[in-house]
Amino acid sequence: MTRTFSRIVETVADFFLIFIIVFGIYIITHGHLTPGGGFQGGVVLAAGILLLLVAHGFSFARKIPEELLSDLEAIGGIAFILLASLGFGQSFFYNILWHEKLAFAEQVGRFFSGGAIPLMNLSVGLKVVAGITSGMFALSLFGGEES
Amino acid sequence: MISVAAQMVIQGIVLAGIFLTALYALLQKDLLASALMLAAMSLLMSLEFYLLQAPDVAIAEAAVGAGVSTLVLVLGIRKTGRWEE
Amino acid sequence: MNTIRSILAVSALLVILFTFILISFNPGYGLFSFGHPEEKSWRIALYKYYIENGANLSGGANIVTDIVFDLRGYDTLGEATVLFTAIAGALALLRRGGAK
Repeated sequence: MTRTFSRIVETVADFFLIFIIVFGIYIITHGHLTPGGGFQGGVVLAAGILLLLVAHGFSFARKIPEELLSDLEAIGGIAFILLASLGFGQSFFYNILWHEKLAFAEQVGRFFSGGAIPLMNLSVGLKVVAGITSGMFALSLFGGEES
Repeated sequence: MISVAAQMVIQGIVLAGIFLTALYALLQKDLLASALMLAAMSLLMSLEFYLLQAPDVAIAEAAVGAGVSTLVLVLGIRKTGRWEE
Repeated sequence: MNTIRSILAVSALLVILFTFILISFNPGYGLFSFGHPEEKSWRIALYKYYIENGANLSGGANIVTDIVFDLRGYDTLGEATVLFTAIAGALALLRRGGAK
């Protein structure tokens, strides 16, 4: 008894999902060059996925396993901590990839610059997407799936 | 480049819009309309952040306020009831 | 088991209180706080330093991201912890196979 919206809403949501996901990935990957970053892009991506949830009814949330989202969030958090502890020779959060010119060490303003910052953006974005999506899925499945 | 007076006028309009949408959301008995009006208030707030030259905060405010927060409220309304008693 | 847990909780609380006391009785603590007569000039010098050297210190063209992820990385770590704890609490309350 899952009541969904009309076919028009579903089609429009599917169509705009592409643009929302491209925009979110752009914000995450260009976080060190343009405004935005991991958290903002992750929230945009999560809003796109939740648009799908609203348009297709709450039974959509049962198709994605909960353990997968939890694992993705844990992977994001652990990757963030590991990237931060790479620079333990100097201090926590020391950006050793940039200072020692190991990786992502081109000139400032190029895409492959910033050392650990793009990788941290990716990990935080993954963490935010998985966290918000799993929380909202749990909230939408709470108390039965009627309505 | 916009002059300072024009900027003041634009920001006054945006702030008045924020105030009016917040007041409408507060006084409305239809909770769904209230939630949507909160989303409109959040969009105006993100425009205000953009005018104050904080585009990072503007993106976060637009995504969280108009996207996720509205969805949470709509989910709660669909789980309970639409009208305030 | 219960007594061990309460002893652990009380000792953790004591450690946190002791740390706060240690920090706040540090003679350098109130040096950069609001209300100091020269606080504003120091703050402006800090802003200038970040704006001028932020891109070279951490390599990103967006200075906000530089500050959030590199120069003030602990802030982001705390934010991630807050998000993680909130999601963990929500999932523990609302989980699918949870208790009725």
